[in-house]
Amino acid sequence: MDLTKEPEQDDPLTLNAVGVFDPSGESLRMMAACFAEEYLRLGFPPGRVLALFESPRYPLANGALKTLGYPTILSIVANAARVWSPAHRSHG
Amino acid sequence: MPDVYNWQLGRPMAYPYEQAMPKRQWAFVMNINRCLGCQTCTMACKSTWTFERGQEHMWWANVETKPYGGYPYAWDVKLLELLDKANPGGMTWSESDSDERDSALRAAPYGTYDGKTIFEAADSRVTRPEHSQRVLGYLPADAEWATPNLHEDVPPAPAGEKGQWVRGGLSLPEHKAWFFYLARVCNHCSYPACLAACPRQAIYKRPEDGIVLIDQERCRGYRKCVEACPYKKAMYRPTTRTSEKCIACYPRVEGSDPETGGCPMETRCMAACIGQIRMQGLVQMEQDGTWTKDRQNPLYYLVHEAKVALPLYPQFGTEPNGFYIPPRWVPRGYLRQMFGPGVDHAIERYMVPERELLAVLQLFRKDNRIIFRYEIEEGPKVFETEIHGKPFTLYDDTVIAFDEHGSELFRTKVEEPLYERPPERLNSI
Repeated sequence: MDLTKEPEQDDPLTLNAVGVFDPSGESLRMMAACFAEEYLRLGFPPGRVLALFESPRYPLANGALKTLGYPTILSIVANAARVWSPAHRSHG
Repeated sequence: MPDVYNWQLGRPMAYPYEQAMPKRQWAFVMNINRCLGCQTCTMACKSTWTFERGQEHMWWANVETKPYGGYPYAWDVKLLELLDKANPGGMTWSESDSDERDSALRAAPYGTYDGKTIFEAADSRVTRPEHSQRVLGYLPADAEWATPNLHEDVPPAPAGEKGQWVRGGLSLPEHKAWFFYLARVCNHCSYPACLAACPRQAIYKRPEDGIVLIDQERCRGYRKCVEACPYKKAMYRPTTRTSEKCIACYPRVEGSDPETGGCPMETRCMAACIGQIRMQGLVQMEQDGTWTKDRQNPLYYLVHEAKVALPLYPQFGTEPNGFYIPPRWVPRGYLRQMFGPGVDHAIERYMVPERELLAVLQLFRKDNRIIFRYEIEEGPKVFETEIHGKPFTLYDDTVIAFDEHGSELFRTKVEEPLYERPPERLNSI
């Protein structure tokens, strides 16, 4: 599907949900890592954090999963859990 | 116009009325890093205050998707454009002297704003050359109020299919890189633009808590407040021909809700937040417009000590009392325009939180009653590590919250365990 669409100035809805240029994808990784860390800090178990990314009801997190792929998100959540999830902490 | 002192700008500024500060000021902090855009706050407000005829377009609390979302549509982009037109290239800041004393830093924590505010740019006539304004602003068109940002990121469901959502087939492109949710309510500004612009003096700021209200008996619906509020949180109601706005759930803030037995209570939108991104309280004010030093008030700590929470578009000059912990993944240039020059410091402090900050962040949404003071009981060291390239030590401290009268509200630990309700009792209270 072609996902490009030029903005139309007289259409008040046209600029909702247009893409922002980020060639390295670094912002997206940072965003996913931020969510993983925040919700682990709230006390969510890693599986429940992963479920946030899997749910299309949360387009921001779900968009990161669709773009970066499941293995990347899994690794991001696992890395954050090593610091912020007591049951998964790897530091003594 | 008289001069008033705006601590967020670090300088005096012109305002149509003399400086007059409330005894206490309603204020809030929202942590954008946690917001997933569930819109629970939006619906809590809607179902409490704006469900009647003529209020269909009103969303006193809303969550919009940045950079392109907005309610009303493009409100901030339009205001920034007007301000730039009135004062080309003027939205810049100068650094403050870091050797200044604590009181001076509270008076200018972000440096000094060099440009014009919406009050100082009012005589530029860039909105309507034929008319003068008390405040630089614009009146949104009716269509611009029609997009309250519910489900703006993706279509929620195929037409006619209830309980479903579109799983990939989109007619418009998605955000591919970064975006974030900006939750907004009225900022109950210290220098409200709505109040400044009202030709009937129908808008007033309560001396007991700084909440800004519109007197429905005096309002004649001229919509000058709608035009002037840079955050577009005053709205016109055609059925009553008056303007209405967020009332900060003042019966709750006054403590008249029977649930709390007289204790001041946080607003509906704050209390409903399931992402635990919000904290609302009352801070003490000096007559010069700065906050009274109140080291153990969590809002004072987040805004003036840790400096992780920043005002939204401080350059507008209204001294908003809503503060945001900026999202750490968003390009800094965008954030500096939105939250001022304190962004880099705030994100640096937030990403590797110090011991006290980590404890204070645990206070968010543990109780509906307003926290006036906190104390920390030191706990054991849990572990040391490195996060984001910096050394970090986690302590399992206990943070204790107190109400207006000094009674303990609750205590919680940094490593507070999470208990999940069983599926059959998900909605139990």
